[in-house]
Order: sequence, then structure tokens, then C-alpha cells
Amino acid sequence: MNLNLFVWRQKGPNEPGKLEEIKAIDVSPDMSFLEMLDEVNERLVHQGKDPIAFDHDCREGICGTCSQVINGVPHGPQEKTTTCQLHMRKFKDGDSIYIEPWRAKAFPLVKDLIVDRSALDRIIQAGGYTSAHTGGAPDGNAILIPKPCADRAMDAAECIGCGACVAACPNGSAMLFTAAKVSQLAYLPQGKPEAARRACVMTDAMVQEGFGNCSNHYECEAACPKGIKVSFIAKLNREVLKARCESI
Amino acid sequence: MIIDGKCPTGPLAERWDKYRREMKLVNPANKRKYKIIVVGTGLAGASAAASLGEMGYQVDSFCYQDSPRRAHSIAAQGGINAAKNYQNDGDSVYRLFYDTIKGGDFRSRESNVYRLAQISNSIIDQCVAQGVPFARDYAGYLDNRSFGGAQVSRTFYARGQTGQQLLLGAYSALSRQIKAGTVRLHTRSEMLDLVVVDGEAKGITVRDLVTGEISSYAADAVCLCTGGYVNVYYLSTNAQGCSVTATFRAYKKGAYFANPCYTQIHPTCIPVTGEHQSKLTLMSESLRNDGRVWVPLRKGDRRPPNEIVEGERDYYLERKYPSFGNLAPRDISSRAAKEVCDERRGVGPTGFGVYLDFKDAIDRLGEDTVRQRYGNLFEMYERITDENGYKQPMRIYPALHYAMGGLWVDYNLESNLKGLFVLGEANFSDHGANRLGASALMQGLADGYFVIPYTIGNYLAQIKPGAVTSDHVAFAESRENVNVVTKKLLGINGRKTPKEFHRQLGKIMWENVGMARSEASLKRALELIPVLRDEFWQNVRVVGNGSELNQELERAGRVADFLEFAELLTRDALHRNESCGGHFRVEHQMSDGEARRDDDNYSYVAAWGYQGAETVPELHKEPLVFENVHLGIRSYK
Amino acid sequence: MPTMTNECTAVTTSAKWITKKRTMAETGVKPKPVAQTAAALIQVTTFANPVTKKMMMGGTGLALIAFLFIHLLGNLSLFAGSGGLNTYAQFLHTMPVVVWVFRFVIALMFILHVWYAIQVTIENRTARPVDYACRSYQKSTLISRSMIWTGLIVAGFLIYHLLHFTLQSLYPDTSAAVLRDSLGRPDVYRMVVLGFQNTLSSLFYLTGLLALAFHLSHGIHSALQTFGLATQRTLPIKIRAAFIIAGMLFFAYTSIPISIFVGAVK
Repeated sequence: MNLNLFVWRQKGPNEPGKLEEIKAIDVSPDMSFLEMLDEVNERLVHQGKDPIAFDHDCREGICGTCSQVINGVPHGPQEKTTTCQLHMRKFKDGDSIYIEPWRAKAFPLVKDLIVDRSALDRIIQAGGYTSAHTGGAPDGNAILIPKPCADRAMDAAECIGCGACVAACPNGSAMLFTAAKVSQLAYLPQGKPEAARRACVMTDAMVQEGFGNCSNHYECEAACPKGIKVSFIAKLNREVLKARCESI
Repeated sequence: MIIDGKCPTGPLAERWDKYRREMKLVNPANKRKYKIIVVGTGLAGASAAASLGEMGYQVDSFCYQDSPRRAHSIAAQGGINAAKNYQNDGDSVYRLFYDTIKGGDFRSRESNVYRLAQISNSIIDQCVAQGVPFARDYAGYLDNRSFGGAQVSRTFYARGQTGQQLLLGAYSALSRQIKAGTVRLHTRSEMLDLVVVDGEAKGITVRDLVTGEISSYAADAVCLCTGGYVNVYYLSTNAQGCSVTATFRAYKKGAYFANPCYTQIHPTCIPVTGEHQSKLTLMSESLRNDGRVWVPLRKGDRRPPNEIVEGERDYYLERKYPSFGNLAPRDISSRAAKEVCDERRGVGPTGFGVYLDFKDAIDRLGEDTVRQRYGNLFEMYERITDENGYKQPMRIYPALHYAMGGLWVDYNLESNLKGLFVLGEANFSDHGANRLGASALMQGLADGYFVIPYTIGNYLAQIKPGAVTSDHVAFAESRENVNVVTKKLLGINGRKTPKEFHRQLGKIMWENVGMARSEASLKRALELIPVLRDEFWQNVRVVGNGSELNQELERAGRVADFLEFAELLTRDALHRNESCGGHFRVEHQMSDGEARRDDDNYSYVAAWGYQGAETVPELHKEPLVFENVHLGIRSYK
Repeated sequence: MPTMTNECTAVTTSAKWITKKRTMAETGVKPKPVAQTAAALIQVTTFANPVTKKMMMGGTGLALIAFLFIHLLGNLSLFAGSGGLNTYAQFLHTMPVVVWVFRFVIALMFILHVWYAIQVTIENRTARPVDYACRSYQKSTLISRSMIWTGLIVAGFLIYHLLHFTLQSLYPDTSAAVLRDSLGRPDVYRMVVLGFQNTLSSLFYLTGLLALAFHLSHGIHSALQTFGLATQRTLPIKIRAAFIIAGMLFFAYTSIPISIFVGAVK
């Protein structure tokens, strides 16, 4: 099949950008979306043009590197699927496809479809960990963890840190990302000692990085390729409330 | 030349204790005077950087990705082994050690593997403390599953995302140190050279992938945790960015490269669909716990699987290996799949695939239980193939997956170049000729959390901190060399893209140096690779320039290294005139097609030393001494 | 074949639309200097954690909803005829202190709600300086995305409402201060009935109340979520409940102007 791509092209953070129309021809339905772009790039290189720069790595939906807003939806039309796992059979011949980078103040653009997501790392650095020293940990079975807690923690821990929640949020908020980490550790006994402080410092860090506030549009949940639920945002809110109550 | 692995002597079980008793220590107040570079932020790199930072060293951590959390360890699905014996099924440190040595087809060091088995238990404890949400049973205890190559249930897991959870644990520990200021993080930085001063590794040269700037960093020691090289086959389960560049450039600076021909082929990947394919997707081997592998009995049988009745199916793994059945080790299952496909009994549009059938498991356990265990894998399969694994059997085929070979290291994880430490998949040390499932995560974290903190101290205690700074002429030379290569790549302006060369190289490697290697095929590869390499340097087209984000340039540099490395790998495969583990030479097999080792002549580590671009590398041998295990025939029947 | 149902593919046929979107996109960064300065100012003046801020919004919002219910009970006394509403009005006048404290609290809630609303909205808008050229929403609604607008309409309506019935300065001829009922009390009932016989006034009320209903249909469940009172199971129930409560309030409140307008209450 043949497609009309409208791809965001921008040489650098301070250069002007625009949507460029690029044809993708002979696209096989078995290709992944990125393989389609690979082919487009190969053709561009043969024409001596600059290929489209985009972030990608594992191509199996787990590293969280790929980041494209496809037809107005982060990671494209298929539910719970990253861009790299999206396949061209979801499109049909003659379709126009808009491809844009993640858009947020906290994600400055690097080139074309590549943005800088280190703000998410800094949210984790603010407190997304247990302060466990290497060595000296007690036996793994020393503290029993009820299965429902372990399962809920795992549900939250599935976050791949791609930032689709931010890209989708009308407010450019990183609440779902932050909530997933806070919840994971708050559900587990190992994370409880620091839970209150963690919830506060991580949300503070989120605002300092320039992310917006959560106003419960739940757009993040729909965009999340790993199906992280907004109930974790409620959990985060409870953790902050608890922290506030404890500090009184 | 014979080289020494510097293993401690004495009873196997006491060697690591003995080593720690005798090693030299760095005074806590002096630790902050030492600088350590850690390249790579996978399980080995992140855990090493975090642990060393916590100990008080000044650590610089580098990765080519935009975040340390994206390293490819994240893609490991199945689990991590430990000799906890929580299931009371007879596991022990010795048994884990023995299974790993045997799984590696008796081509690894006893001392290293025993240490790995000993440390395995602490890793689980460490990860639990970090908040890794391992699967639990209803009583709240850690759950285990069984895995290929073992008859005990010792694998700890977090759904089908164990690697992700362990990496996020290590990443969080690393993040904590970054916040504390003990670790400086450099993302989107690709190591392009190792700086060696007076025979000791004292720094690296990196390219900032955003600005293109080439800069050098000096340190008292360098740890390479840069993963494996199987992308030399173009199609593999590795991430797109995985390359041999860091380790290969260290090799060119004098570090020995050991056993490059030991590559692992994973049996449960999704088959190739066409030329456009950029990578192969693995599905956890744990699927083989409940799925049954089969092909039609009749050649060229193109009927849909549901129409082929029981009597017309060949459950070849269960037939050939009754005691291990579908859980036979990876190399054996992979080769068996290749055999049946070569007999034209393969399935799917290309004929390169075998069925992995869950019908019996669904009948026995119910679809819900199967969904609970493997739900995410079934979803992944459906996304890629558009087929429902619950309704019809999955199609699988082997794919390149892991590199057992790597830079040569001694017991300290130190290369022959002093001050250069190599951890995780990047080194060669623990898996011999074949790695068992759920062992890579174990090794990466063992090296990073529990080995390097000790062994690097032993080295640092013997040197003066900050003896070499980045003003040293070696750093300027290194930057100049990197710049020359970059300019050369940009200046060729030929007609083929780096990707086309890479694909072509992959084809040569898969066809000639793949699952079944022969003297003839290897010699053919040794003829084809240099021709392709020459063409590359005449005809590659790299658009853009060096002082911007340029993904074509990045790929070109990696492909250039692969083109040289492929020859080394093939040369090693040709020299190893035996079959063992992942290295299968068709000339050396039993009557039933099993690998036939030659312990008299090849029970050694082949460590290759670089001798210049046009010269055959020098072979160094480290004899493998087995004092505690009997070199049996690896049988899984 | 499941393809996307999004606006972009549908409108790509319209060349005009593409040009418009592209010119907008080509400008790159949409400068919002005023908003950015305001955001900076807010950053300096308040140090609230985002979740705390949300809780201020949600808490004050819930308090205002509680007020809506109390207010509604009083209003419905209108259906008991002139005696009902006027008795209620006079009852309130017998305890000025209580009424003033109540008014003060409600005003404070309102001011805080508006203050945080504006602050949060400015921050949220500045968090995405460059917009998407093509955007397709999955789960959010026009209602959830226009809270600030429905809120501002409600605020405008409130001013009108206060001028109309509390200060009674809009239509002095028909104010309760002028009118007297048979018992000689200020005739609030007649004021209301005469007020809503005016078409324009009734329409204005309907618009204001509709905006309020939209605002609440998102606000109620949003506030509950903000206080962590929602789980994966209960959130959908709460979203529906919020819709029903907002609808009920809308119909209960509009029952007054409508029944007067159609002449059921005279």
C-alpha cells in the first residue's frame, strides 16, 4: 500500500519546524510502523536527503524509547501498543498519517521526532527508589507480601517510562508516570518507610520540571501502552494526603 | 601464549571467601579520590555504577540511550535463577553451579561459575529490598517457576517482565546515587575509544550523540558493561543500538577477545516475515513449560494446524528428549527446529517455523490460567502476527539472542589490560559455550552488585589515584583517531546505506556462521566478509555531518566494527574444530545429531589479541581445569 | 479493518484545513508571553505541591456543591407558594450573624476555587507551548477540557444572579425591597416569579445552570479522584454518579424558571 506521511521536521531545538509531506510507497501490512519509517529513510538517504530522526531501540515494546504521536494519538491507533509494535495492517492504502513528536514544555525537542525526556529521570532521581544499600538485605522471604499487594505493585511497575502519558495529557502532566512509581513502592512493605516523603518530593519535582497539573481527563490511561490505570493517581493522591496529615 | 585466569586455589566452595579475605582494600576516606568510568547502564552497568557510587568512588556513567532505564536488559522476560531452594526440590549452590557448567557444555571456569551460584541468593534479597515486585504465592512467599536446562524450580520472576523489573531496580539505585552526587550520568553518549596509558586503561573517548562533540574522560579504572554483539547477524533479538563497538575498540587497544564464536540462538522467537524485518522478537522460553512443540509428520504438509490430527504430528522434542521434552536447552531445541525445517516439515508462509501449541495446556489448566501465566506474551504474539495463540498454535523459529563470548577477563573481571574491567554479557566468563535460561540476569547483577565492588578495590588499592588526567597526550590522540574515522565515513559518499551493508553482512553470517557451521561455510564467510568490508569503505553513503544528531553516522560506525568483528568471530569458529554448546560444527556430531566435544584438544578459552588491521590476530589460550566436575556428555534425553 | 476514527484522517481531504494547520505549526513555538509571566508570578507566590493544589480545588469545589444542595432546598420552597419562600426568606433574616458567616465561608471557598483554577489552568497551558497539528482525544471530553470556560460562565452567571436576587439592583421596580406580600413581608416570591417571566433572564439562567451542570459532571468525580476516593472498580461508577448528580441538580434548579416561564407557577 501507499501512504501520505506528514512528518514533523525540525533540525534542532532552536530551528523552525514544519510538517513535511513524504510518500511511503510499497508498504507491507506485516511491517511495523518503524520498519515503514526505516524504508522511508532508506529512500531519503538514496536521494541524498536527511532521513527522519526518531527514537527507537528494543523494538519489542518494552524499552520505552519510541515516541511518536501518530494521527494525534501517542503511539498511534492501537490500544496498549507502542509505536514499534504497531503494525501497518492497522492502516489502509491511501491513508494520510500525521507523525509528530511528544509535545511538552518538559520535553524539549532535539531533532525531528526526538525529544529530551530526561525530566522523567529527574523525577525518579528525586525519590523513586527505596534507599536500600547494596548488600545486607534480609532474606527475600523475611517479609511476606500478600499476593494482591505484590500484584498491584507489579501492575504499577509495568510502566516503561516512554512519556506517552505526558504527550497525551491536555495539561502535559506526568502524573501517571509519577503515580506508577509512587504506587509500586507504596504497595510494598519495602517501600513504605519512605512512602510519604517520596510522594511529596516526586510530585514537587514533577512541577519543577515544567509538567502541568493533573485535572483527571484520564487521557493518559487511554494512551498508556502498558495499560497503567489512573487508579494509581488516586493512590498517589492518597499518599500525599497521608503525608500531609502525618506532618501536621 | 598461555594466559592465567588468576583463580584462587583450594576447595571450590571456599575460593570466593578466600579471595575476599586476602584482597586489598581502599580506605573509606580515600575512595572519593578515585574516579571510575562505567560504560553501559544495563543490569551490570547500572548495578555497578550504583554500588561503586554508594561506596564512595566518583563514578561517571555513560549510555547511548536517552535514559539509563532503556538498556536492553529490560527486554529479558523469563526470570532470574537463584539457589534458594525455596521449593524444597533439592536445589543447592552446588546444583546451580553444576547445571550452569553443564549447560555451558564444560567450557567455562569452575571458580567463576561457583561464585556466581553462591552470589545468586544475595541478588534476590537485594532486589526484593529495592522493591522489585517478584511474583508471590498466596501465602506471601516468593514464587518460582521452572526453566530450560534445570530439573528444579529455581527461577524467580516478575510476570513476563523480569528483566525490566530488575533493571528498574538497578536504575532506581543508580538514580539515588545520581541525586546524591556520587554518580555523574552521561546519556546519549557513545563510547568510541578506550584510552590506554602505559598498558593500563585510563579513560574513554565518547561522541555526544546530540551535538556530535567528541570528548575524553580520564579515570583510574574503566568498567565496560556494554552487552553482547549478536547484532553482527543483523537480525537478532537485541535492541537496534546494541553493538560490538565499545568492546571491539577495547580489543583494538589490546584487550583480548575471548570465544567470540559462542553465540546463542533462542528457540522461541517469532518467525521472519520479509526483507523489511528489522529485528526478531523473542517470546519467553517459559512458554515451553506449557506449550508443546510440533511439526507435521509429512513433508511439505501445508494444511492449517487444526486439520492435522494427533497421529500426523511429530512432537519432536518430546520424542527425542523424553526426560526434558519441550524444556531441552536452547541450543538443542534450536537445532532440532532447524533440522525439521530443513527436512521441509516447517510451517508458516516461509516454511521456517514450528508450532508451539497450547491446546493441551488450555484443556488441562483452562484458558484463564494460561492467560495469567503468559497473557502478555500471547498479546505480543497477536500484535505482531495478527494470530490468536489461544485459538491456533503459535509459530516460532530460532533467532540469535545472546553472546556468551566477550572480552577476556580473569577471576577479578579484569581484562589483560590493567584497569579495564568487563561485566555482564560484554565479558566471556560464566556461560561457557551456552547460557541457560534465567542466567544472564543473574550474571549481570552478580558482577555489578557483588563482584566488582570487591575486585575493583583490590586493583585501586595498588595504584595512586588521579595519576593520569585527560591532559595526557593519549587522550588527544584518541580523539584525533575517532575524528579521522568519522571524517572518513562521511567523506566516502557512495551508493549504499549502512543498513544495506549490515543486512548483507547478516546474511553472510546467518548462512555460514549460524546454527550449523562447517569448515567450508566458515571459509566461505572468511572470503566474503573482507570483500564486503572493502566495498563498505568504498561505497557507503553517510548523509549529514558529524556535528549534529546523525543516526546514519552512528549506524555506519557500528556496522564498520561489525564488519571487522565478523571476521574474528568466524576465525574463532573455524579454529574451534569441535562442537560445543552454541557452537555447532557439522563435522563433529554424534550419530543422533548431538554436539561432539573434543575435550582433549579444545578444553580452553580462546582469547584473541589484535595484531593490526591486515594481520591475523594472535591466539592466546587459557586452559580450563575441571577439578570438581566430571566432563560428561551433555545429555538431556 | 479497524482504522482510526480520528478527526485528522477525516479532514485531510479538506486542503484548506491542512494549510491552516500547517501554517500554524510552521510558526513553531506559539509565544505565550503573558501566560508565561503569569505562571512565573504564581510560582513565586505559591509553593503548593500539585496534589495539594488539586485538593484545594477539589475541596472547595465539594464545599460549593454542598452549598448548592442547601440553596436548592431553600429554593424549592417556592413550590409551596408565596407563603413558603417568603417564610424561608424571613427566617434567614432573623439570624443575620449565621447568614453572614455562611456567606463569608462560601465566598472564601469560591475565591479559593477560582484562584487555584486560574493558576492551575495557566500552568497547564504553559506545560505545552507547542500544540499538536493533529490531535485526537481518546478519553477526555469537551466538558473536561473546558472546565475553565464553564467555570467562568458560572462565575459570570453568579454575578448576574447576585445582582438580580441578592443585591436586587438589576430590576429595582420588582425587587423584594419594594414588593410586599399579604403579611407585609418582603415578597421574594413575586420578585422571583416576575423575574423569570422575563425571557432573556430565564435564558440566561438556563445557560448558567447548563454550564454549571457540565462543570459538575466532571468536577464531582474529579474531586473524588483527587482525594484518592476512587479505585479501578469504583471510578467508572463515580463518573456515572457525577453525571447523574449534575443532571439532577440541573433539572431541580431549572424546574423553577421553567415552571414560571411556562406559567405553571404564577
